[in-house]
Amino acid sequence: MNEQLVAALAREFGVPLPDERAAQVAAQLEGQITGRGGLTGEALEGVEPAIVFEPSWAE
Amino acid sequence: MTAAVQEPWALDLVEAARLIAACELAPSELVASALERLAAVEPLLHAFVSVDAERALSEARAKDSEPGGPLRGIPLAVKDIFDLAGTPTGCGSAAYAGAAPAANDAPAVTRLRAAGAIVLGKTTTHELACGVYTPPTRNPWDLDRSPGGSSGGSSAAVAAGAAMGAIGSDTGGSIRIPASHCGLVGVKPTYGRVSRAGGLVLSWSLDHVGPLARTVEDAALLLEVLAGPDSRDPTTLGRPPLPEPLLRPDDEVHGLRVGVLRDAPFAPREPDIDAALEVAVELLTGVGVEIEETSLPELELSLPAEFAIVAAEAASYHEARLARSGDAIGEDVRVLLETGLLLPASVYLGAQRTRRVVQQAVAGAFGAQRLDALLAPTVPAPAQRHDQLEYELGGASEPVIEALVRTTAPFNLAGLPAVAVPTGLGSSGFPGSVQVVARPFDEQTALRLARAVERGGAPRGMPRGLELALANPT
Repeated sequence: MNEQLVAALAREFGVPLPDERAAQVAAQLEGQITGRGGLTGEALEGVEPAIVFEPSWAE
Repeated sequence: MTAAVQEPWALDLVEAARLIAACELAPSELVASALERLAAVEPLLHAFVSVDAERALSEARAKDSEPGGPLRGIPLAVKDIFDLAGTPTGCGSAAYAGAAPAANDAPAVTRLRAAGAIVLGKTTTHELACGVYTPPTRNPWDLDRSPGGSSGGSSAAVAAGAAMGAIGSDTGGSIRIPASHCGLVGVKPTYGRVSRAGGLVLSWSLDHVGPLARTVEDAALLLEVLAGPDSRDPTTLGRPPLPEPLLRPDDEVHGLRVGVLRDAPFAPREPDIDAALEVAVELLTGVGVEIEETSLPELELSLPAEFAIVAAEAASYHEARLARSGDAIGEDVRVLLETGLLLPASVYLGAQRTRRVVQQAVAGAFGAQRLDALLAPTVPAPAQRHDQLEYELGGASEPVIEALVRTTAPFNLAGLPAVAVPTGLGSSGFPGSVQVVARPFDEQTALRLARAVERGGAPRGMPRGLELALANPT
C-alpha cells in the first residue's frame, strides 16, 4: 500500500481525499488490511460473522 | 466532610431523590444548587456545550408541587450526540455547525424526562464520539489531564458536581474510559438494553448507551429508567426486562464466582492499576466472592476487530457528510473515516467473524469456569495529559488510544454488560478503576459486585484538582 495507490483508489471511489493526507490513510489502510480485522481467513473457517438480519418487525 | 459536600448538588442522586420524595428537598432548590455549582466549575472544566438554566429552573419549579417519577427534580446532563428537542446536536464537530435544532428528544432522554429528571444542558464529546481526549474539557482530578472520552464532558460534569448523573455512549470504551479517568461509575449495558435512537452513530453494531454517575446505586437507578424496548431501535425489542429494583440494600454477593483477567490485553499496565485490581480482588474475597484466575488470550484480537468495524461503519454513516464538509472534521477522525471508505469488505467481515471468536471465547470461559462475572482493569493507566499521545507501558511506548481501548473494546465486541467502578486513590493521586463484566442482560450481577468494590474502596468527596483550583483562583 502506498499513497499513490490510495490516491488512485480514492479518485475511483469518489472519496474526497486531499493529497496531503494520502500517506496517513495509506499507513492506516495497510495496518487494517494486514491485520485482516483480527484473524486470517484460514483461522476463521466455519465462523459466521457477528451480523444477524432480523426479518420480523415491530408492530 | 467539607462545607461544600453539604450543599444539595453534592448529594448522591439516590439520596437526593429520596429527600425530594419525602418533601425534605424541593426540586427547584436542588436544581438551583446544581446550576450554581455548574456556574462555578464550568469556567475551569469546559464540560458543557450548552446550558439552559432558565428552562431547567422553570421545569424544576413546576415539579415542586406535583408528584413525579423516580428521578423527579434530579439535574442531569446529556452528551451532545443525543437529540434534545429545540437544541442542535453538535457532536463535537465543526462539520455539524449550523445544524438545525432537533425536533424531538432522543428516546433515552424522553425516558429520563418522563421519570422526572431535569436536563441542565449538553456536554462535550470527542469529535463524532470517536476518540479518548474530549478537548477542551479538563479532568476535575487534575486540570492538566484529559477527562478521557469520548463522553468526557459528561464525566467531568458529574465528577465535579455540576450534574448528578449523565448519559454517554460507549462504542469501544467511551463511557468506561472517562468514568475511570474521573473516578466515576460508568455502565455500558448489554447491547440492546438501551435505545440508541436519536443519537449519533459511530458504529451500528458496537454502539451502547448508558449512564455515568457518582455511585453504583445512582447508576443503577438511571439504568432502570433508561432500559427498555423502543420501536426506533430494533436491537432493544424482545429483550428480557431488567429486574426491579436492580439493587437492594441487603443484596448478597457471597458465593458468586468471578474470573480475574490479568493477562494481555489487560497487561501491560501501570503499578497503580495493578494495585486497584488487587484491592478489588481483596474486597470481593472479603465478602465471600470466589475468585478464579481466568485467561482469555482471544481478547487480544479485539483491537484490530474493533478498529476495522468502527472505521467501516463510521465511514459509511458519515460518507455524505465527509463529501459535503470533510474539511471541517479534525484530522484524527477524518483519517479514520477516509480509511474506512477504502477498507475492503473482506477485512470488515473478517473483523465481524473475529468478533464471533471473541464472543465464543468469553462465553466459553463463563461456562467452563461456571463464572458469574469477570473482573479486569478498566484501563491500563490513569488519565493522560491533554497533549500526551503515548503511554510508556511494559517498557514500550503505546499510543494512548490503543492502550485505553484494548481493555474496554473486548466487551463492546462481546456486547456484555460492563460496569466501571472506582477503587481507592492510587499513588498518582487518581482513583483506580476496575470493570465488572457479567453475562448478557445480567447487569444486576455486575452492579452488585461493583457495589461491593465501591463500598470498600471508592474515594468520596470532590476531586482534588478542581477543589484546589476553586480555592485558589488565578
